Amino acid sequence: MPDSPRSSGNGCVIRAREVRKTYESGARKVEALCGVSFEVRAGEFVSIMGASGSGKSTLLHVLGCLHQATSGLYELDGVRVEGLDDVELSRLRNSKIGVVFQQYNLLPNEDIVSNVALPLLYSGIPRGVREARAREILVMLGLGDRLEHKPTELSGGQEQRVSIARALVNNPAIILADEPTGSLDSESGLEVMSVFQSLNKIGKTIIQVTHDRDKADYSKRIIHIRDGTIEAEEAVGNVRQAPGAGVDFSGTSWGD
Amino acid sequence: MFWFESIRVGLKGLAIHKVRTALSMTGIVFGVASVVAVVAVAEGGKQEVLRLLETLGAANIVVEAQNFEHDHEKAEAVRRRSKGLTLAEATYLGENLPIFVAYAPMKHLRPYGKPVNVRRKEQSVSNPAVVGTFPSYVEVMGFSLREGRFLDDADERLTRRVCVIEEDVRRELWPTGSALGGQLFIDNEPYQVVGVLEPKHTGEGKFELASDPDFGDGHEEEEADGAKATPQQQETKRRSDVDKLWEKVVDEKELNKRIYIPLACALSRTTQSRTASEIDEVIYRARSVDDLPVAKDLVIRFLTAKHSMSDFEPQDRDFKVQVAMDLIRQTQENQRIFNWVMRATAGISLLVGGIGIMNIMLANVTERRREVGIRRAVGATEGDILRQFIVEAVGICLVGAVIGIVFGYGLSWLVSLLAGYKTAFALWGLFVALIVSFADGLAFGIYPAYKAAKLDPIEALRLE
Repeated sequence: MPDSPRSSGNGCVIRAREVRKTYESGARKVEALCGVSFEVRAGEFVSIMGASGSGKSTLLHVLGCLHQATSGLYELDGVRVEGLDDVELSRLRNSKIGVVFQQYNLLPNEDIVSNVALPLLYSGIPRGVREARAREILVMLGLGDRLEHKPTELSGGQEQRVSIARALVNNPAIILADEPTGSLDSESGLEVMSVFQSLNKIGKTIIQVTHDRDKADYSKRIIHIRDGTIEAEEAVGNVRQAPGAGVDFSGTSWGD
Repeated sequence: MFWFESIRVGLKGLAIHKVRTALSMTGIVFGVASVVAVVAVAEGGKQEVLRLLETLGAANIVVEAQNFEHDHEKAEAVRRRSKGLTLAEATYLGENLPIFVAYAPMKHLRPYGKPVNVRRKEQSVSNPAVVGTFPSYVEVMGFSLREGRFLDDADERLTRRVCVIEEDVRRELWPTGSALGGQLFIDNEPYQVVGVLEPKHTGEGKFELASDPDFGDGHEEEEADGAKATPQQQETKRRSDVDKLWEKVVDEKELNKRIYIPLACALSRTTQSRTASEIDEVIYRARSVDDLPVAKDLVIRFLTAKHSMSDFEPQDRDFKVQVAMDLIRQTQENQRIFNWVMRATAGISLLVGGIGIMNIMLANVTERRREVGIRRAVGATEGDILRQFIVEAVGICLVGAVIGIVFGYGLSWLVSLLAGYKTAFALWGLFVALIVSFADGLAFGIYPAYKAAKLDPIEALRLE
């Protein structure tokens, strides 16, 4: 699954120019992002790092089309995002973005197949097809023997794998991960990193937000954020490799 | 997302929260139950009116003699002016007014106001009513015969001792086999049965005292004893009260226990009380319902003049003119008032039910913020969320409606059992209940669903 044909000419999946985000809480205006500009090319694995309150989460919400920027330009996979209405934004979230949360955010009353298939429900894909696709990905991520289980019956690491599967099921242009290892023990955290590196190997674009330098070193590039602006960008000189063989995603059929 | 998927997701949501769903349903259940009961009672009332129409005849005018049996002063005042309703008057109107197509004078055989005795061998009929009338009676009333024939002109002319009986009389005297050609005794005079009438649809239950000939035999016996004791009582007031009650019971029983004999027989053998008029009743059938107001007016003017009663108030005259349509209108008016009361009750219960739904759905939305956030994050639009919660609200209402329909029919059955109101199953009541509850869910589910749809996905996902 190499370069997505939907990418704009220069291979950029994300282009942000002077993105600002202002929250109003009562009479007070809070500038969470004060003019952020950067690009992410297809097939990159980028970490956004910063202390809490630095604006990194806000940036992720804007990138994930969950919030609109107050001003500035944001182009996602060739689509200008500013000025889109709810239906168009929802369609973008649904088709171009896969999100992985720190708290997994799975529906506790649905089995994991239904959870993974959820984005496809909103793409209007028939139930049989979407559940088959969900099963395929879950099997690939080593959860083949847990298909009938509810999320609450799984370990944290397994839950996060289910949430990664959900992020993959629509074959999105980018995967956004918000502190994906924040709630996991170190072993499960490494597992997640291993999955991300395997995905990156087959050409998936991944952006993770983290405050953990150690986890950032598994990506290829780090964007440092402070007080709502980009403080520095660095290429990771010596990318850490997650132990183990990773996940073999070759021969996937999803998202043709 | 398609509606079909919305419904699936919504119903799944309901299945997960079974207890809550059941509790939020109760208001709707009772609301719908009352709607269904209203409709069943209203429908019953409507059929009752139609039946009454059928029994009395829509285009009929009933002229009744008023004898004031228990008010001697009034009776005396009236008797000084006229000798009451006569066969000559009845015939004169019937034969000379072209507005009438048929008429039937009637004389109730009730010597000294006491019930007549009807028996066959040792078996007597409880509370029978013997009526002398013309052959035209069947035509005027629209009755039909089960077997044999009705009275004919020859019977009348020759004063033949023949009779036509109603079904309940036959059942008491000839429990098995045919009554045709059989003989019965009316106050010890033998009469031959020439015909049996088809049982009538009577207004039982709704407008009169509840009655069931098979059911209340012991009851009737008691009342008969009470009535026999009555004449010995000298207090006029008390006597008249008991008699009124007695008459009501008798009239009720008469409906299916009549024995018809030629009017000539009735007139020749009746032991009249001094104040009684010659005949008790005349029924005129008008050409059409439209002719009734004019016909009624003509009859009243004729009789008022003939009886010299123009200076008497209508209720003090010795005759009373009634039109079936008037009676029906009166019952319809009663029914209408009752319907409005029931409708208001149903409306209030549905309002309360709806508010209950809204309450639960609002709690539901607050509790399921996270779920909304997740769905929004993976691509659900505001519309998808709106639909999901509306489907849940409507789903609760529809399931509640189905349970309510079952309850409602139980309730209307109970009403008909306890209050004696006739109820009837009406398919449209079912549809009304379903549509109303659907609308209820929609109306009261929209605000909570809108709130859910407008949740900020980030806010929704944030931990409490």
